[in-house]
Amino acid sequence: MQLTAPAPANTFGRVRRAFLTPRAARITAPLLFLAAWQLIAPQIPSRILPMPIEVFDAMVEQARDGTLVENFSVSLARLTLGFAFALVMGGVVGVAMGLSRRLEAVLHDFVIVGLTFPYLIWGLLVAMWFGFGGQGPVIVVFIAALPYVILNAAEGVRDVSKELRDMAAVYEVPGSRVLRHLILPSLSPFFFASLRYGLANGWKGLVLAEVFAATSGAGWAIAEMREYGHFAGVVGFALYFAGFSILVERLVFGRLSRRVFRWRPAALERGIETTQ
Amino acid sequence: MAIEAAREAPAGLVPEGKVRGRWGSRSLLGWRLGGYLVLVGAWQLLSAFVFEPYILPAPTAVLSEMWEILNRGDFLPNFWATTRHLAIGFVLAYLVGTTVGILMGRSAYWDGFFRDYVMLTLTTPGLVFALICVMLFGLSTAAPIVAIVLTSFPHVTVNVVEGVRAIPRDLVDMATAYGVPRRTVLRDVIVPAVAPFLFVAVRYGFAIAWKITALTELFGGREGVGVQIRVKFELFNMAGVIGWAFFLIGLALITERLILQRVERHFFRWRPRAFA
Amino acid sequence: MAIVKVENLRKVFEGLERPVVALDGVSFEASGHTFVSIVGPSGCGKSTLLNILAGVEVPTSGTAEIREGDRRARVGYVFQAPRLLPWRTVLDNMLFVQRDRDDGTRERALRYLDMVGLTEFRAAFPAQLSGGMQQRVGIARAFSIEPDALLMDEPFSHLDAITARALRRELHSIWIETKKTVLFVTHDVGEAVELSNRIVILGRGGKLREDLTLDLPFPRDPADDRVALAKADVLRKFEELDLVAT
Repeated sequence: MQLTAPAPANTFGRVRRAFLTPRAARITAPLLFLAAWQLIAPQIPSRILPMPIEVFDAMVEQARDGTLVENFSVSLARLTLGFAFALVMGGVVGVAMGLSRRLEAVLHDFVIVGLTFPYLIWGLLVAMWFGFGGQGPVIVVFIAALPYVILNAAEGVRDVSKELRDMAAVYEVPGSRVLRHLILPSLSPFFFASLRYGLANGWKGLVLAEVFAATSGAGWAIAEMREYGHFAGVVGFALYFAGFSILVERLVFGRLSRRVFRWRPAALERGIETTQ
Repeated sequence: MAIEAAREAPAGLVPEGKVRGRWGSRSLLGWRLGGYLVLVGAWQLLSAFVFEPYILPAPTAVLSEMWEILNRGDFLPNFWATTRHLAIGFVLAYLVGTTVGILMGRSAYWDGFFRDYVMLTLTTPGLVFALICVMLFGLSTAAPIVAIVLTSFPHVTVNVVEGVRAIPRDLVDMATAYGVPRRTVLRDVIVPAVAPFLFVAVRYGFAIAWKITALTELFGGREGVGVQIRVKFELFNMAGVIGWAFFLIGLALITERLILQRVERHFFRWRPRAFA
Repeated sequence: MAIVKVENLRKVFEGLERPVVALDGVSFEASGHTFVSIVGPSGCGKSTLLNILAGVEVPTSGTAEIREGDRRARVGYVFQAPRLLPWRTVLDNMLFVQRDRDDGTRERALRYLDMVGLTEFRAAFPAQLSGGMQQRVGIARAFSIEPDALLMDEPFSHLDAITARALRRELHSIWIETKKTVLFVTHDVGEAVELSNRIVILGRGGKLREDLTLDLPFPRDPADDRVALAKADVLRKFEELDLVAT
């Protein structure tokens, strides 16, 4: 087996090799997709599959006329509010569950149900209960994020090393110091996991609820566009959705967690995954 | 650390022992059931005294509505349609997901190629995919099926990639050194190593699949559970919405518990049971 | 001066089939500038004894305590695994266990860190240190609170032979300098003979079988004949008490 193929002599060979690197693959994939789209779209009526250029125009317009910024802002505000509640209540309940076997037995199944219950139904229910105000979506954020916060908080509490706790007990370290230097740092990976999965799932529940229970917001906006047959706008807004997710994932969880966990020998992240 | 723990109490001993049955400790079973009773009771009370019947129908109202659905003949064609969509879509998603997962796990190039799309799909709300598929495929059965494939295959892929990475290279090398034929290595080393991940992939993939099926049907379909939910919702028949939701969740639960878990348990019956 | 008093100590654990007696009526005393090694086969309750003395576990019956005058003694504990907070620096780990946090505390912590030769690592995280270095921090930490007595639970058993030897020498010189009471659990008879002037042998079923005093002068070179003879003597005792094998 050769460790590295010998460098090709001619330019063509070198260009071809450059194409085959994983880095190139990341660029080739969307380009291929775009090319395929461009080829197929003319064959299909525009009201079903818009052309790339139409989608691009729609995206520019959404950015210009405020559709993008206003709706995403409203959604973000709702997400923050709902998640804040979920964090507080979920933190308390999760810690309590981690400490008490009985409480865990009572609530465990409901947390699992909360994880798997379709957000669609929550969206419809809050639409019935709260009409078109903003409360419905906020509540759905709360419901969607809560199980992830609870599970990670409980797991975090259980995970606090008994060995370290015994060591602190033997040395008669005061409770406040144990809390600050032992328990809280021990919880921080789980806090991050609850942030990550709670926000991710809160967001999914939010936009779905906005379709039925709101008159503003990213979810409402994209559904409206479909209602009115503005398909290029639908695809464009969908791309904004995708970009938004990537941005948050990279920025918040890349940079931030790397700073907080610089004491770790290897970055192992634990937490509960998404099921929606 | 494991050695430390064993020294604090000799291995296998528990200072306060309690027998743990299949449902968790017997003394906790009562607490668990209690939780359910409290929930149903609270529901009954809230619907009777606090909320209007069209906002929160009583458990009994939901049950009677479900009974009516069964009797009216609505149930079978819609349920069957959803099952069809789900089955075809999920099988396709699993096949695609496994193939892509194997590619990504074994080749850095394909990993680079698919990585962004997989990450995108994991974080973009299902709503977006449902709307786009309905837009592209209208009322046909292709809509939910394509939506399932697009949203579910990345979850399968992620787990398959992990499985491929978990193949014990040292065992494979050992087998090669002993001149074991490739087919035997595949059957006795690789497949058992990857199998658990394939099962987790089923679980996660399926969890997404049934939700997106209902969602896509709701936005644009001729028949299916999702369609019925929309119909009931538009008629303000909350008992009907909840009733059909229960049928949907029932379908999911039955498939997950009865079929998938059984198969999984059968496959892994050689595994030693962890203590308690 | 710290006084260790163990009287009729009994500890029983509930097992899967029947109760397991970890300690069965153990009694002994120790005080002052003494290094007591507690030796015995695996699973005979040596660690349990230490845990009870440290206050981490409660006895089933009997008493075990370390007193300094009329108050409970302050103890330092060195565990098998270093038990350092992974997210705090070495110095912060030392400060974590100090009683007060005044100006003298930091200097004192650094002084003990210097005693184990790790001053330049005071701002490192535990993951950046080797196992031996982490254990040295654990030892420095235990001594830095200037305890009345020290408990050590097989602190060198997870280290390679060379590091263990070096740490044994370091421990010995710190003990000579600080003149504390040390209770040292080990399964290694050679280690016990090298470091201690008192050897307590626990047998299976948690019974105290022998309480020996070792009068050899310090420092003890394992290559020295007298040390080797003493070790042979103790091992013979083990055989007499039928504690060897299985």
